[in-house]
Amino acid sequence: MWKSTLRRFLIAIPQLLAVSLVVFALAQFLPGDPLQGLIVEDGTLDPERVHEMRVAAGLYDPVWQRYFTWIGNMLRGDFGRSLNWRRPVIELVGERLSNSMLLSGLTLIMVYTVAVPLGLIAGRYKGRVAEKVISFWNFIQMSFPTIIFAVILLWVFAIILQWFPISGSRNALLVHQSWWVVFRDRIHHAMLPAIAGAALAGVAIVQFLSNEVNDQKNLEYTTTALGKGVPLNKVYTRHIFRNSLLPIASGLGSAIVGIFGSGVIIENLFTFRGMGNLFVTGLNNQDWPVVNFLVMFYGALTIIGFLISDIMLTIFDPRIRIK
Amino acid sequence: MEEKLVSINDLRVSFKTVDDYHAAVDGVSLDIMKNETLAIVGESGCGKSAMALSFLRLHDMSFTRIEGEINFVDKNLVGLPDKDMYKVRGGEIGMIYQDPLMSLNPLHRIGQQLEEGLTYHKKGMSAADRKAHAIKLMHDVEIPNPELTYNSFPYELSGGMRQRIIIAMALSCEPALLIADEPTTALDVTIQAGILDLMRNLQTKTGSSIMLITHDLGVVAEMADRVAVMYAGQIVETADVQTLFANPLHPYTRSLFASTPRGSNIGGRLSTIQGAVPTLINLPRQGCRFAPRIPWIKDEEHESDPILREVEDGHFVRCTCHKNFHFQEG
Repeated sequence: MWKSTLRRFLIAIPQLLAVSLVVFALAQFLPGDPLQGLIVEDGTLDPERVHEMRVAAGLYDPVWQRYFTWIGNMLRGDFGRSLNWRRPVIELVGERLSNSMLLSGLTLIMVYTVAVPLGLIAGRYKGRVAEKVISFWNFIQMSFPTIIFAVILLWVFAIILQWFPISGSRNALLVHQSWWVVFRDRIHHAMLPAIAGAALAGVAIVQFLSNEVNDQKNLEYTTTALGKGVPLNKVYTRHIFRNSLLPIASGLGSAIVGIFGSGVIIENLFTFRGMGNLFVTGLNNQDWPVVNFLVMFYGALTIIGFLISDIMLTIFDPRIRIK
Repeated sequence: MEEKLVSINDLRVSFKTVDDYHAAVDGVSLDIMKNETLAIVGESGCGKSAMALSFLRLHDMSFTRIEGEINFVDKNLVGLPDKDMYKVRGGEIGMIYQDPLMSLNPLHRIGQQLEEGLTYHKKGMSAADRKAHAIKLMHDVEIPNPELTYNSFPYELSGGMRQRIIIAMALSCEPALLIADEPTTALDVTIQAGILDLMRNLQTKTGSSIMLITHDLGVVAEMADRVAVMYAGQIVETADVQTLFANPLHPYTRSLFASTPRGSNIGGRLSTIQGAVPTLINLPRQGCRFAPRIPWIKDEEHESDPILREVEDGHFVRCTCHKNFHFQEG
């Protein structure tokens, strides 16, 4: 098992390099450069001076040289400065990361505690009332654009009922409070976006699991288990559910990636100060250092997520282990 | 002298298709004696497996109806409450399945699967006892290295080994009846012989009865004491194995024999049976059900309502069409 894990780790390195190449190439195709923004903003800069600054910034260097400078800087922990905020990118991301992680974690918990049981029930009672209700609900959620769903959530729970704040990620007035009060306030803010994100991510899990359980229960080994005298409920919990959950458990890595990525939409709908929100703001302001970093970050996250999935799969499914 | 273990009485197993229930097993009456091997023979789709699974009610009961009686020892398995059925399954009746790979849970270790039945039927057993019993079972079915296999997963074993595990599983609680549903169909011919030998030896040792479902007359000759030939949900002929092989009477039985390669017709042309077993919905429910597949036999030869008649001691045949039956010329 360690062998296959190590192998997947080594494969991740060239994958990350490939992502960096794509990000760098895309940045080359974009019009303008970091200094153009300054010219437009000021309008007073002398073109000669700008030329000097460009030379100093290495913008006239050969492409490969700039690429390696960029990679080298990143490896040393220098991710550049935001043009918009005039601060190191890493600082901006640092502020947002904990918010995004909290939101993703909360979403993930909701997906696994709600969608998984619903999927199992729908699969077991295929064709019965329970399954029809769940499938109908799932169908509605699937056909609803997240944007509309988010607006409805805000309207009902933030405006009419006023159970949750309408936007933001924390109450700035809570300064000298215990960590518990602060934490509770942040959960409170993350709740609605998490529900919207969970609805988005949960649909696929309910559908997938329901089909998987329905497939598994028609396989011969369930007849064998029944024929041994195992009671029906135990056949479900010990055999069918366990085997159906395998792809879900091993899909944890990619689920994290999906949820983190969906933050780009969700966080903006709820003006939640996370990475996704930073990404869209960065794009709007043509803040390329921020955008480049975040694309790189999401790329790395995807690779790591799938790495986690692969490792989980070798743990859960004995057939995959490489001897 | 012989004691009945099972007495099936007018068993009817129906499946719901689009509109209605259709009987796949249509009024079967049979006895299985103690320590006897009864073979049920017939083509695919003639109701053999449907009958076998109805013993333990292993069908999806949301579209299956079982009627009649299956008297097993002291109870009627048809209509037996679920709670009691759990005790029969694996405890009093063991089942051997057709596909040894699909019939094992791919994600459970062999030992775990062997012990599972014990945890429900032998509640007093400790974990150590169960393990010892599982290893002994693997010895009995001649698994070369039981201690190692105990921790293996199904995919690590060959097809023959897996089938031995299934047999060990079926035997784990010393059932009085073993139902083997095409136990060798999925195996290589060389492996088949070994599995059949094993089943015969185990039967001599344990004294259990076997109901063997097969379409392979070679397997029947090797294993069975008595044979019931099934066609379109009905028994068309029963006899002990010597009688049936020496003097097959029903046209269906004779056609089956004629289409099996044997030493006696080397170099000759192997005959086939026209057409196929009718599907459940199109099953003729009146008259001789085999008549459409022997169209050269005149209608007068068939009975309008064919019944099983004893033609000699212990040899039953359905319908009168066997009397003047001949194979088609040319």
